[in-house]
Amino acid sequence: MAQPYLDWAAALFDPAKIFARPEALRDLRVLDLGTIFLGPTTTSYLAEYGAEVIKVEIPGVGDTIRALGPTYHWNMSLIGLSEPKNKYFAGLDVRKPRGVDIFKRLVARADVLVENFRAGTLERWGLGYRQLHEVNPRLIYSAHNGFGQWGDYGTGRPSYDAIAQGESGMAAISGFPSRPPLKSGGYIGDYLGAVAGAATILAALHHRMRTGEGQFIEIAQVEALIRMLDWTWVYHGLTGRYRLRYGNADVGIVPSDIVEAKDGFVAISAPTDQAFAGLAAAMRRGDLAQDPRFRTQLARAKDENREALLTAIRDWARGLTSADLVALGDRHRFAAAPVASGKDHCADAHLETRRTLWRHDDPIYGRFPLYGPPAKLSATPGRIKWTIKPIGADNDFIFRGLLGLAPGEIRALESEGVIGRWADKPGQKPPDGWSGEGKAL
Amino acid sequence: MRELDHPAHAFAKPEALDDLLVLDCSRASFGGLVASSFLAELGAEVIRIEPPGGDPARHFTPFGLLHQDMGLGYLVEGRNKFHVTLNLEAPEGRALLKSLAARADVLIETFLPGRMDAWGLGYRQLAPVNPRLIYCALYTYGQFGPRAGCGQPNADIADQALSGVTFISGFLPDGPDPDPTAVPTRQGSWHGWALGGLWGAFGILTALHARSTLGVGQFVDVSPAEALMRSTDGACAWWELDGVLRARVGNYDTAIFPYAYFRSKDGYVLLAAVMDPAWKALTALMGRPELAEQHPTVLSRKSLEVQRRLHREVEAWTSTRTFEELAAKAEAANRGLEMGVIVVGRVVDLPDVIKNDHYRDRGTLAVFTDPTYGDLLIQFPFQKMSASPPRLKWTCRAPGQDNAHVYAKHLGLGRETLADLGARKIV
Repeated sequence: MAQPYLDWAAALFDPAKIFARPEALRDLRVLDLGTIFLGPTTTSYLAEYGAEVIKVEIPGVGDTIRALGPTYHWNMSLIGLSEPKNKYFAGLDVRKPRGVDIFKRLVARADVLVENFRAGTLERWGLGYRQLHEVNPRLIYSAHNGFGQWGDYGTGRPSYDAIAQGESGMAAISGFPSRPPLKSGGYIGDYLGAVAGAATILAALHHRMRTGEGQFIEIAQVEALIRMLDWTWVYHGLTGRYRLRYGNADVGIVPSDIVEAKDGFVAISAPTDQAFAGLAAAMRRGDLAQDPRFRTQLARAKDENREALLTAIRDWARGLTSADLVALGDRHRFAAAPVASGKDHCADAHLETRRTLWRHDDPIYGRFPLYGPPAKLSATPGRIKWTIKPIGADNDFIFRGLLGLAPGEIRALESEGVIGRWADKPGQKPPDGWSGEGKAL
Repeated sequence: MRELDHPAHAFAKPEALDDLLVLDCSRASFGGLVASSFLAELGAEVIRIEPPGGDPARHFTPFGLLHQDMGLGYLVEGRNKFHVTLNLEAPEGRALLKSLAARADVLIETFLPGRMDAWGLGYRQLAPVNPRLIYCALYTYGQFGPRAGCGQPNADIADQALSGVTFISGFLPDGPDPDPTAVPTRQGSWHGWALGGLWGAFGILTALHARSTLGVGQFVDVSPAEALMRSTDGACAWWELDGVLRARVGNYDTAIFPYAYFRSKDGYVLLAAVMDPAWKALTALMGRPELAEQHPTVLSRKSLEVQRRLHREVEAWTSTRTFEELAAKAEAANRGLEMGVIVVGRVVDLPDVIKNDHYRDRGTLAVFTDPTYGDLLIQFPFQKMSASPPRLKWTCRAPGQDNAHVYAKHLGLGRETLADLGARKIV
């Protein structure tokens, strides 16, 4: 092939062509009855790849994410601005019987429903799987929560990301032995549950394509985290011992640690013997790669060998800058990556080229940066069109355009409080002076 | 609901993805292994392709421990996959992979960008042979962009560091400097690979959905570092809009209080009373209503200094009570609240997870008898599905254990042909 691989790949994925290409999930309609992250982030991921997601919120109340700090711009919280993507916003009170009727008309035309209420809540409102399956047997109904929809332990309890981190054992194995279990600074249990849920929904759709059959899915956040704790459980079963907190050192891949350089923290890792030989050469300690204590991964992972090696690496790195270490990693083919911040991401040409740092210009809110779709698809790339809108901003598009309610009917339902929009509160209401641009209809 | 989706009924039901053939050529990366596990748990026929001698990932194991020559990480992520060996350094090996790829729906790889291409096995060479192929590559820096050609190997800790999650995780100094525990801190598990693998599976299934209408496959490029980056939500916007560098806050939260871990009489708990009425109710429970008067709104409790002071006050109350006492008090107080209740959760030690009957009952975590590796305490698929549920068939296989079956089934190669290929180190 004449064209070098990296040039060919850059042309194949050319971000300038994203909007010239079709969307993978454009034939799907998804209803979002979730709040905060676990449910709504699942539907955001589907919307980023083209699904028509209708977010249904209680008028004048809405998703708590709208008020979830840390600062406000244009009457919207920063997390509210950053998290939802490409959805249509409908204000409908599904706790009221008329609201239930209208919601069922949406269900009849939908492929997927995602909710993250406490187990049993929607069934009480007449919107459980059993009821909606009657309306639309092809519906994929995905229920997300902390501990699952059945069982004795906590299934009816409210749960949060920090509880899932705590209950799964993830916090227990994170951090330093002399400190308490560590809660991640990000809502990582929610985000993991969201992508796991989105992928499961697509698998269920694949099954439906083959059989015509919808189904019920449960995503319990705690169970997803338990699944993803790699060797934690097998280790106990085979040795009788419990995994501990080991700080930044990985006891399964050696060396792998976060070290302090002259000007900041850098992750260093040599996951293969070949990469380790590279690291040893960079340290001008070629002898380490020949030393029987360090020559193989299995030898390096023994307690005494690991500690000796990590001490040598820390001492070496202390005299270098982050840039030195990254350059040595490039040259000698071991991993050396700075501990990056949001500020670093904003200045990272690599991330911007890949549209992982997405310089967004929103139809309602204007310019601010976001994290773009992580999976880059060459033929049907993901994209960001807009983020959040005020509660009920797309009511006309949904209730008139999709369900065909006459203007008089909509007004009557509004006067009964069944259909509605935002209250005069930050997080719900539009920016001051908003003229209505950015609504779907 | 229990009858509807209990995993005990899984083997009586069909599998969602059992019409798919997946080749997993990943090397030294649990990102690729997690992606193919996700598909294999849901029924895809996954063929793991390893060099003779096995994938180095088989030796990513705590303290160098092996069980029947197998590392403990790989024991978990070898699940439901057929394991063959194939030497891609040899032209004949590459020809065999190309024959397999001609029949496959999905190929997963984790080499340095351009490695497969140089072997004649990249997407641009395989797509003409099999236009329906979905080709998924996982690499820390992705397949394009200024760093794609940097040459560094995949590493979970590099994914975590680059993602921004490490920067915002970890404790603040709690004593005299320097405190080696007050540093940016990674997740204990291979969380970069976990997110990278799940995003790989999501990207693959998205491309499969598109294939049903477009008729053709495509290239899916996933950086595990970027997959995990999404978990820092608004960190980039916060910097550009407000000039605020989101930094680590220990076991507090960036924006809300209380949403933190506290010491209780029997371990740590998460106590959340985020909305103002819940906070007021909590301070009443504590007999300290003046705290709510001094800090009545979410915004008034946001600063780290205030959080640290209030944390001490709340912990003085929680530390003399057990989790059950705290949960009962919260439940009683919540009856008077319309929205935004007080929530208490446990921060457990591992024995509490292992001994919790809930996870046994739900088939989340249990002892599984593997035909090759015996009894293993292991995590099962996490999803419950009523119509086409996931399942665990076996946990792992030795390198090349399925050579005879797979090469006969897909390429018609029999015992003597394989013996010849083996003698020449092709398989």
